[in-house]
This record gives sequence, structure tokens and C-alpha cells, in this order.
Amino acid sequence: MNTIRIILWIILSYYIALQAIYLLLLLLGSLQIRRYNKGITFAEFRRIGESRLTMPVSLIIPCYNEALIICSTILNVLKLTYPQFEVIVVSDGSTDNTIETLIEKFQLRRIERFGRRFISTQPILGVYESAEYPNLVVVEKENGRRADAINAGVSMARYPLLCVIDADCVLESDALLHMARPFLLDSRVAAVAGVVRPSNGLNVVEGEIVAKGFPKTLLGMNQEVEYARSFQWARIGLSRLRSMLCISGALILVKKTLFEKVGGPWPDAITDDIEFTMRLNRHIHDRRNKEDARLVFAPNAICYTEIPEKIGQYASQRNRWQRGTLQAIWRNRGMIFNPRYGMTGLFGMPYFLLFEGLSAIVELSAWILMVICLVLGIATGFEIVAMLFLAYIMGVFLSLSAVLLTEASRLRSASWREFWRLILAIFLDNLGPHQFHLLCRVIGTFQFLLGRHDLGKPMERNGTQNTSTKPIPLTML
Amino acid sequence: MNLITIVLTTAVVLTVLSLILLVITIGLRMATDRRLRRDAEFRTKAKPILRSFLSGEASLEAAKAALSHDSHRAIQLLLEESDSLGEKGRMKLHPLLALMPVEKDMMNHITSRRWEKRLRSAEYLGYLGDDSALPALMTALRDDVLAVRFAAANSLARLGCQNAVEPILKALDVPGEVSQRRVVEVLQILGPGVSEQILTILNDSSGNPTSLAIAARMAGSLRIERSMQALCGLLRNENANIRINSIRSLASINDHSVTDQIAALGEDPSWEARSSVMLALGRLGATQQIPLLLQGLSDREWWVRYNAAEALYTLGETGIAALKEAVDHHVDAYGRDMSRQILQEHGDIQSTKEINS
Repeated sequence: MNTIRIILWIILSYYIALQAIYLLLLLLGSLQIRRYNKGITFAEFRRIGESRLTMPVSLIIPCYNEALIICSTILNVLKLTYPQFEVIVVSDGSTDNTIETLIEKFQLRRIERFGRRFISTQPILGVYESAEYPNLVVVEKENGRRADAINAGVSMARYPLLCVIDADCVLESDALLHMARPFLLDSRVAAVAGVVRPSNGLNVVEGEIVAKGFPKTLLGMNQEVEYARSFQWARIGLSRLRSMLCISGALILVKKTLFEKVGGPWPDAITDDIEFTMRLNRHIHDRRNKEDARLVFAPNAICYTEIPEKIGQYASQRNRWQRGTLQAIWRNRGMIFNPRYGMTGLFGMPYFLLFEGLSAIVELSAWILMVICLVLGIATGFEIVAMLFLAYIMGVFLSLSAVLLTEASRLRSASWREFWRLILAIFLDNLGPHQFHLLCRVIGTFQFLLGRHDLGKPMERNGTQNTSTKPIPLTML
Repeated sequence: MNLITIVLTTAVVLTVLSLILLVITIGLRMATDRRLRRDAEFRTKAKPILRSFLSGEASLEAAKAALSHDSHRAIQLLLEESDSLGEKGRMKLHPLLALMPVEKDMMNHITSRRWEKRLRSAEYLGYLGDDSALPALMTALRDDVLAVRFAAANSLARLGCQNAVEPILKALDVPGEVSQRRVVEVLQILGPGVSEQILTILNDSSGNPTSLAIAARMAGSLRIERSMQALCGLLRNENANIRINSIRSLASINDHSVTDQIAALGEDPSWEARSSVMLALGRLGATQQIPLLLQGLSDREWWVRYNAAEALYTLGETGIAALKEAVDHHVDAYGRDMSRQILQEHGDIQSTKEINS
């Protein structure tokens, strides 16, 4: 009985610590966003767009069997507002007609081009350039993984900043300007992360966002809330604490020199973006390297990415993310509680281990323990319900805070109908979807421990960004 | 108090807080909707009248009438217009700006405790202010926050304050090439009137390295021919940034007599310097340096290779012929690749097959 009570108190302490950190991140995040928005002046922003000293960017898009959506993505990035950039699309051994589609759409012609191989990759089969778009390069290579495709793209990159996005991404036209700004303001900036939001519900025509909307399904709406929480305050708060250990692979801008120094993403990683970000942190925060570099979050750089709206795909994605998180933590375990890495080692990594990596197991234990307590009569039904309600309302409070911050930004919901759907999703999140998410992560944890390291089934693209759920025209926003 | 009481109390507090948050969010949303609607209405009415006023079709009274009922939105609109206009056009806006209660506020904000206010003030004074804003902006050059100092420097330059060169250099003495280039951009706004001050800095080679690097760059952008001797001397400076800026400026001044001195830096340890040498040789039309440029095609840095190929192309017929030759016969695969790439970029060849044939 005493053992159960001790475990109960451990879980309760864990929960209190987690919520306290969330509240701290919420506070830090909202203060940082306020500070960021007040610090931007229109003249400065205009200068970035026009200045010759804005650093040119090589934008890399790795893709595998993305024939359905890749043209839309390329058209979108070719229309970005930025003084100088090139787009490098890497087809990672696609078996659909990705290359043929690209050749036809962009009038590609095969050329001979050598890049500097800073890291070995699967063989490159061909390089193509577009007659119509001089800043578009397409690389065809043998299948590796996403990380291998990125590394091959980087070997062809000519500019000092590298921006990596996913093949299903849609960027706001000024996203690169917002991401390049920190590099101009502070030469110590090593990488910049941006905001990622679901693209399901966007209406994109010929690469341009013509209307915005939210996903149609409840599962999609839950992810909308989840992304808002993660990007609206959590990451910006973590970046303030030098603990942004996960930069989404959907949008990252990084100095090429540092990218090469770190060795690029690891091809065997389950989630290469998490593992790469951790290694990047490890390199720049290791006092022995004397890098004096920093990672920054740009809350106005916005990228939309397709999210799974089918249960099976969602489960597979979350399972992979969980295994990837654990793999990245294990690979960089030397940082945990290591004062050599400063705040990152003493706070960031332990936070990531305890509250990201192991949270699924702790939460599952809490559920099991609740049942045991009920059966053994340690707690009454009323007490259990009170506990559950506290967890529920805390989740609601944090999600509402994220929505409040979102509404104060340019990401505000397009209409009152969308707004109420978002609020409804918040109240429903902890009544099923969250528990399902937990289950996926628990399974992922056990599979990782049993040695599963594959990437799972690739997500089926619907090209949802080309349709919309009764979106409101942008002119009305 | 037992655990369950704490849990219940916390839950009730959080429920109340959540409801308050929801109400605030709804209120914020309503307020934003209303603000956006009013913004759109104001712009629809005022912008055409303002444009007509600037083109001389509408009277000052008509423009005043269109703007006077909402000074906050009017200021935003005027700032945007001011930003897109040249110096002369901006002067036309002064009678309208004088109507706004903003200038006095801005002068006060420059000493605010909040850096965001100081930043905005420093920036806006460049658009709104006249000479009366100069003392406030000079004060802002001593601000603790770099962004405020940059904004103040920019505004001083925008207002044509020629005496501000030294204070600006002193205020923006920060390491890093990007920062230095930003300072150059600011000083460029001041134009040729600052040449004497630039020469003074250049001739004092023992001065602050950052100021020296910026002055070296400025000498090129203002094409100060009298700075040639000083710049040639700086080619031997131990600071890579100073060497790079001197190379670029000598190329901009376009005096062919310095070609050999620039070419001597073709194997500089800094790749940026080598890259600048390649570009400079192209700009100076140094056909006698083609062997050095061909050697640059196989440099270990991409930018050096690229600029060497670009330089060869810039040299005209002789350089292009050397490039075409390099496509097939350069000893290095990277050199061959880069030559082909540049020829393709300029449309001289369509494909490798064409050059081979």
C-alpha cells in the first residue's frame, strides 16, 4: 500500500512539475512574442527585403514519391519574396513519376553538375535545371532516407544559408524574410526555426495561398490546437531558455558552415529533424567548442504542412515521432545533466527526456495507478474524477492561452465559425483524442525498446492544400 | 488542507481562469475584426485623396480633411507613403505631418524606459522629423540597444546629417561583416558629402579596425579617387575584412593601375578575399590575369570558383573563349563544371553536347 502511495506522489510531483514548466513557457513565450512584435518596424523589414546584404538562401526540398503535390510546393516557394535564393528539389529515389512530372511542368533539362561532397550520400543519378526558372535545380538520386536527400541537396547548394522544408509545405510569401532577419541582427545566430501549422483547409492555387481555413475533421482540429500550443508559446519559450531541442524539419534556416560542421542530419535517424537539432545544440552549446552561437525562433515565419486526418496514418506518424524522440535522446544522452552544455544540458535535455520522451509512460502509469487505487480503495471515485478534471481543465487552460496568442497574430482563425470549431476542439481534446495519442506513443516507446527503427508507412498525400473547407477569402481577414 | 481540497480548489481557479481567457479571446477577436474593418474603410477613403494631393490634383485642405478625423491611422498611412517616396516627395507630406500630434510624442519617446518605444521613435523621426529631431537622434546613438542605435543612425542619414559620420561609426562599432555592411548602407544614404571624413579615417591606419573597414567600403561606394593610395596600403592589413573591403573599393573606383596589387592577393588565406579578388579582376578587365582566374576555377570554395568564372565571362571575348576552353580541358572537374554552369547561365551554351560539338 505504501509503495502505491509513493508512486502516486511521484506521479503527482511529475505532473505538478510539468504544468509548472508549461506555465513558465507560456509566460516566457508570450513575453517573447510581444517583445518580438514590438521590435519589428516596417522600415527595417522593408530594408531586409531590398538590401543587397540579405544573405542568399538555398532552399532544399527532399521528396519521395510526391508527384501529387511537389509542383504546387515548388511554385509556392518560387514565389517567395526574397532578394536572392535557389530551390533545390531532391527526389530520393522516387518510384512514382515525380521526376517525369517535374521535367514536364518546369521544362527541365539534364545537366552535369558537381557539388562539394562534405558527407557521403547515395549516388546522384542526375541533375536537372529549369529553362523557365533559373533558380530551380532538381536532383535525382538513389533512395536513402530524408536526411540523405537533404545532404545530397546541400552538396549542390551554393548559398551560405540553407533552408530545409518538407515536400508538402506551403510557405507564407514573407516567411524567408522573417527567418533571415535574425541573421542580420545578430551574427551569432546559427539557425532559425519558424512556425508550422496544418495546411489541411488551405486553398492554394498555382502555389499561392488564396484562402485559409482549418482541417475538416475533429482529429485535424485537435492537431491544429496541438500545433498552436507547440509553436505559439512552447518553442519560443524553450528557445529563450536555450532549450529548443526540436526544430521541425518542415521549416529550418541554418548557416551552411555550421550545418557542415555538425555533419548534416543523420541518415539512420527515425526523425532526422529532432536528432539534427539536438546535435546542433550539442555542438553550439558545448563550451569546449567556443561557438557562441544561438538558435532563434521567428514567430512570424509561417509554414503550413499537411497533417494526417485518418486514424491509421495519425497513429503511424505519432508512433514514429515517439521512437524518433527516444532515439535522438539516446544518441545525445551525454548532454543530460551535463554542465558543460549550460542551460541546454541542465534544463533542456532533462526536460526533453522527462516530459517529452518518457511522458507517455508516466501518463500510462498514472492511468493504471488510478485503477489500482480505485480497486484497492486507496482513492474514492470522487477523488479520481477530481484529479481527472484538474488534468482536463489544465489542458483546456493551456490550449486557450495558445488560441489567445494565435488570435493576436496573423494566424487568427478566418471566421467566427472556424473560431468556434477551434474552441470546441479544445474542450473535446482530452475526451478521447489525447488518450489515443497517448496510446500511439506508448506503443512507439515499447517498439523502440524492442529495436524497431524503421520509418513506418509513408503518409498518403491528399493534396489537401488544394481544396478548402469553405474558406474565407484573404481580403476579408 | 488535504490533497483533494487542493486539487478541487486549483481546478475551480483554473476553470474560472479558462472562462476569463475565453472571454478575453472573444473580445480580442471582436476588437480585431472592428479594427481591420475600420482600417480598410479609412484607407479606401483617404488613400486616393492623399495620392491626388501628392500628384497635385487635390488641395492641401482636401487632404487635411481626409486625414484629420483619425490621426492614428493617418500617421500609419503617411509613414507608409513617406517610406515609398523620395526626398522631394517626402517634403510634400510635411504640411500634413505637421498636423499630427506625433512629432512631440516621438521626441519624448526617444528617452522612454522601454526600448521598443525608443526604437519606433528613432525610426519614425527619420520620416517625420526635420532638423529639430537631430539632437534627439544623436542622443539615441548612445542607446544601450543596438537596434535603437541602428534606427537612429538610419534616421540621421535620412535627414542628411553630415556631421553624424563619426558618431555613427562610434555607435555602431560592432563585430561581424553583416553589421559592418549595414553601417555602410546607412552611410551611403548621406552621399558624397561625407568623402572628406572618410578620407580622414582611411589615412589613419592605426585607427579602429571596424571604422577602417567601413571607411574602406565607403570609399568604393562613393568612388573617392583620392583614396586609392590609402586603399592600396590597406591591402596588406592583417584584418581580412579591411583587405576585402579595400579590394572591392579599388574595383569600384575602376583604376586599372592597381590590377597587379589586387592579383597578388589571389592566394589570400581568406576565401572571401580570394573571391573578391576574382570579381575585382573581372570588373577591372584584367585580361592579363586570365591564368589566375582559371586557377580560381578550381578553388576549394564554391564562391571563389563561381566568381572566377563570372569574372572570366565579364572580360568579354577573350575570357569567354577561355571559359569555353575550360569546359572541356580544365584540369579540375569542379573547374569544368563551373565554366559550363556560367556559360549556361548566360545563355552561351544550351547543353554540354553543344559545347562538345
